[in-house]
Amino acid sequence: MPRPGFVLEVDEQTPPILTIGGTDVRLAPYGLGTTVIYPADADPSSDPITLLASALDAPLDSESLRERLANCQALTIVFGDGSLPNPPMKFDVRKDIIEHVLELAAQAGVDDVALVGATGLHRSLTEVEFVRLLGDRVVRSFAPDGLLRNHDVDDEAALGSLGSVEGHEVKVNQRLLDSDLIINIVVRCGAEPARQRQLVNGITDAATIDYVNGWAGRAAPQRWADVADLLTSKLPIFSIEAVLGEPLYDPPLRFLSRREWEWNLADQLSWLGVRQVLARAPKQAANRLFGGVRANYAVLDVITGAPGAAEEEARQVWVAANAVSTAVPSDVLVTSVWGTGRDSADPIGSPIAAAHFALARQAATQLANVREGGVLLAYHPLLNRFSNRYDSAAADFFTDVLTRTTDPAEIAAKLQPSYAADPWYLELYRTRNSFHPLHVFHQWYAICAAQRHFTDVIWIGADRRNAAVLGHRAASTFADAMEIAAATVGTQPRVQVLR
Amino acid sequence: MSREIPAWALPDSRRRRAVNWATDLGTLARRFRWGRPRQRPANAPAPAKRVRSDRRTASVNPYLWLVHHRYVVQVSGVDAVTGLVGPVVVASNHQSLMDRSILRSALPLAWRLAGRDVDGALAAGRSVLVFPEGEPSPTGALGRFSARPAELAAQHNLPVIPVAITGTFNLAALLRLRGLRSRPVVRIRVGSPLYPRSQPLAQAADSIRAAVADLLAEDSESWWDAKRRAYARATQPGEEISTWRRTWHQSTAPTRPAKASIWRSVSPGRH
Repeated sequence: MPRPGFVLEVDEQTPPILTIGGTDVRLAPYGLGTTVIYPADADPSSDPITLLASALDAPLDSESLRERLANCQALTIVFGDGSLPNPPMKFDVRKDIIEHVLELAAQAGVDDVALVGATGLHRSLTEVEFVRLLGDRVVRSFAPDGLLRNHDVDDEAALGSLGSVEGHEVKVNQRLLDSDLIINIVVRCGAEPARQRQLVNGITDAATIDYVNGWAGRAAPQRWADVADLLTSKLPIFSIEAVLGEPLYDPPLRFLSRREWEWNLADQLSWLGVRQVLARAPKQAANRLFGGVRANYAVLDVITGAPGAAEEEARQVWVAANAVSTAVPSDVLVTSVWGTGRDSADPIGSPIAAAHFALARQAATQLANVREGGVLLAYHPLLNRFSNRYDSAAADFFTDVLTRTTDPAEIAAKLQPSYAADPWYLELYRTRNSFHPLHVFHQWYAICAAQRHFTDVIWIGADRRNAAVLGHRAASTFADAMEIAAATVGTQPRVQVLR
Repeated sequence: MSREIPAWALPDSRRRRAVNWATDLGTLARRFRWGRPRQRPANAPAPAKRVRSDRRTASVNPYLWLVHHRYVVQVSGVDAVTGLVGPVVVASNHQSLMDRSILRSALPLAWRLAGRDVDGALAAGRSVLVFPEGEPSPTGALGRFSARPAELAAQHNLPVIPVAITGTFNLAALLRLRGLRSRPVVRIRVGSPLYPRSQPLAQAADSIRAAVADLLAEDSESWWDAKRRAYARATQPGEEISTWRRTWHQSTAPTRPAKASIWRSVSPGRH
């Protein structure tokens, strides 16, 4: 049993705290009384098959998988796009689960089997990523016959109508409509509420994804619940949820998993070496180093059954194992930004990917720990770097849209329609593994929604112009950022750091 | 519609941030005392026992290319045993006296495959390689399997790794020929681990043989096809069946070729 997470109060004995901004891996000293939230200790990767076998025999609110496969003619396996967890898994648990499920399907004599990557607006998985995720024997068995594919949100020929929600027609992948059993394989690595994110954002059409994630959709959360209910009530879904622990890094990055006062000499020298190498490495090399980081994750539990029940149970297991509670809300929240993963083809992160990570993924989950009107401090250089191939729409959004307006309502009404229908962006999405043009708009709406909780967002060590384009502020050091924040939260604020 | 970006918000012209060794070494010396034990913060929990990642990557043996310069060895399916550390019982088909040396040099180093002293090796925590057919097959076809690997697995509570090796049949004679323009190819295919300890020995031996036969069939059909056929028992993969029957089972009805496009497809396609 790993040690649970805890809240540290900085005292005279506390060493500087590891803080990462882009490629800058620094040790930052914080003032006395600052609280630092540490996650639970990480455990090594573990084999999920024992947990999976027992979970399949005792599903929640459903018949066992063997019984459902016995009556199945057409089976579809749906898996996520690999954007979670961050950093990616060294031993992808989905490969083990899918091989085991296929073994059961073969025993049951199911002939018609297909695998669908629920990529939604994300960039589609390449063949290399498929092999890394599923293993070569699954890819070799299904890819040549076109039975292993990414979902396309714009391919009308491959979409079918599932029903309607308040007048909006919800379309899903036609293969799912033709299946009499859908196995939804989910990796749970956060405490988001049960909302069937993988299904709603992964296998529906672009209009439906915009219906729930667009600026109007954000203002009406009932839309998401209605679409999720429609999907789970009309499709024959059996969910398999694997709950992961915290990431454990192999040397030389082992120091990332350890608390600073427990670093030995090898950890300290590793930090020194990694910091110096990353600071001096050219852009391509730094990208490779960041993109190649993989971590071990222990599989804490596997939950199977009806989608709603399995998702809620998995969420509760994750919270029980990993969540850390804090007593008093703070005035200032400090977060590192790094390893934006598949949100960007550039693992160090474009300004939009960095803002989305800091606000929508880090701060949005900590809103209860920060008072309304507080200040967010984030470490990232915000360099103007977008991949021409994968992030073409995001690059144009940053230079064309945000320099005209940052107002999400105005952007949604006036600029989104032309971008979302641009044939060049859509061609890049469908054939070149790029992000869908709607993706960057939804990222921006998520950034704006989380930002409303804060008076100021200040980037430490960032490019001033790019911070200004985002509508945020920039500071050279932590002390400078606190000087700026003092105008809002006073000179003696409660500061909380996310480690 | 345009925004005023403040004129003083200039882009950062520095190519990279100044990071120097001296400052970092100073931080380690002053704040960390060079790794010597330091007092932990007042409300920090006690240290825990250090853990190590134990699902190691079972990679192909790095010495492979050094040993086999006269023939090509292709190893596949190692990802099916990712993270599995020894000891294990490796059960392989047998085509030639060279099988043992080739397999020992090609299978993952993490398994620490031992020589012929099977019981001694397992007692010492090393993996063993067993040929359940006993002798090399005189025809190259898969023979009858003994219960030896299942017995060892049950006795020592270990997984059995089915392995198929092809291309070694008559390899020694091929290597004596001169003037060949291409090197002979040896293929090794590693299967998913089997845990036969709860089964009767005869049944376990059959399941190991079926797994090896599936791997042999993967040369001509996919893992999924072989797996389905194994369960359906439509034909026995690895058995000597006529060529036309094997081809007939693999083939599907011809389809119209896709329309030519100016776009070269990079992704595997979408639904």
